[in-house]
Amino acid sequence: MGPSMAAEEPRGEASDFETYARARQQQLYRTAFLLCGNADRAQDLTQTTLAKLFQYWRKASRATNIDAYAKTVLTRTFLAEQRSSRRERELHTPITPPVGPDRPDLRVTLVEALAALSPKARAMVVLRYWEDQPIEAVAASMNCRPGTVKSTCTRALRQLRELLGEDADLYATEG
Amino acid sequence: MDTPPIERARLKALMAESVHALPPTTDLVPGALVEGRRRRRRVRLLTAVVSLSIATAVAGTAVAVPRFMRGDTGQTAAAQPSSAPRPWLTQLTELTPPTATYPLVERPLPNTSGNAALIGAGTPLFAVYQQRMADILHRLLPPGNSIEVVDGMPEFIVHLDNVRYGVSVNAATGEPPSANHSPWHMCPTGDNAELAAGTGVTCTESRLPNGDYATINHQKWSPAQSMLTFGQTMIIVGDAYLAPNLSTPLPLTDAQRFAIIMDPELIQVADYFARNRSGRAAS
Repeated sequence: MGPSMAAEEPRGEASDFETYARARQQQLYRTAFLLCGNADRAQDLTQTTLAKLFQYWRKASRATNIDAYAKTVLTRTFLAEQRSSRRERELHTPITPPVGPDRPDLRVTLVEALAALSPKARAMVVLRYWEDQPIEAVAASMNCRPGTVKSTCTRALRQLRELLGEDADLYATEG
Repeated sequence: MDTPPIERARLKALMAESVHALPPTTDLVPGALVEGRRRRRRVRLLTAVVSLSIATAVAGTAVAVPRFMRGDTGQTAAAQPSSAPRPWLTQLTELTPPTATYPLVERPLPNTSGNAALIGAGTPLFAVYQQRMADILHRLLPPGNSIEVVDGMPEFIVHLDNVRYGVSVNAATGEPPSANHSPWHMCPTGDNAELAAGTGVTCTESRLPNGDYATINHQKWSPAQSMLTFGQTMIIVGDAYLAPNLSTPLPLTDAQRFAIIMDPELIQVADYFARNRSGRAAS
């Protein structure tokens, strides 16, 4: 960091951000992993999210719920990356489709099943059921109506059940 | 309809199980700080560039639009054409008839531009002028051409290599250029050039023997026009789209177009007619 850049940042801004980011990066990383299904991509996604948070830290730090703000940034970054190029989509999407419950020897993991969902549906499921966000908050993050969140989540859960099987054991990760 | 609580709990447990085996991430904060600062710089730079562009465009438009309205080009006063012809070419005092007679034809499509009223069509002088101009065009256009004169209009149909082309020759003096004509007597520069480029106009220019300019404007959606000013007379020679099946631009290079518009006889005849015509537009 050059001295001129340091002068442009309000005193303590970087340290405030560092404190917050260090406390939350693991949590963001886990959510990013559920979104993209790949540990390396999850790290990139988390770092980009933190960078964007720092870019607008003055605004972010004034948010009522910084964590929700950060999750919104993460989700939108993920969706933007999905849209940005075919290459990105290929990185985030499994090459082979998940195998259904009719082949118990090849049970799919939750991460693979999530990857079978559309990026928007995946993001809604993760925000709604992993982050426990209310439907209205998910809708706000995704720039859509609450009804869309409800219907998309319903369809997504049905699809997950079909992929993972009704039996609770089938929900378990492979191995 | 929301998901039953038991299923939500089961799904969340499954998700927790999925991320449980995930190795802890490396410290992403230093990288995020660097990337965040880089993003801030980029946004500041972009904001500055956009602001500067908008300011330049606004200022340029504020200067260029009044100039366009006046037919000015932004050149210094010294570069403006003088109000009287310079010595390289004299003004004609009479218009002699042509050496040949060119057939008069009806315009393929009715004219709606009001040009006939503007140029004083229907006068004896106009009939002589049309024939003289046809004669000049016949001499200047590629060999093998034949010319027809459009009745009542400053337009000509050129037959060349079994293709019909439309040509118009307009001349006006002592009044602002018509809105149908480019007001430039030289290619725009600076802000005007950017403005012209933005409207899809490309301009090339050549110098007359007295230092004045002749220009050719190629416009994206309309015919090419070459023009110059001779004293107070503005002369414009352009492709004329007289009908849908008569809309092919003349197969001329810029050098050939300059040779036509800068021809001394064409200039003198057009200037004479512009100065001596009667029955101008009623306005």
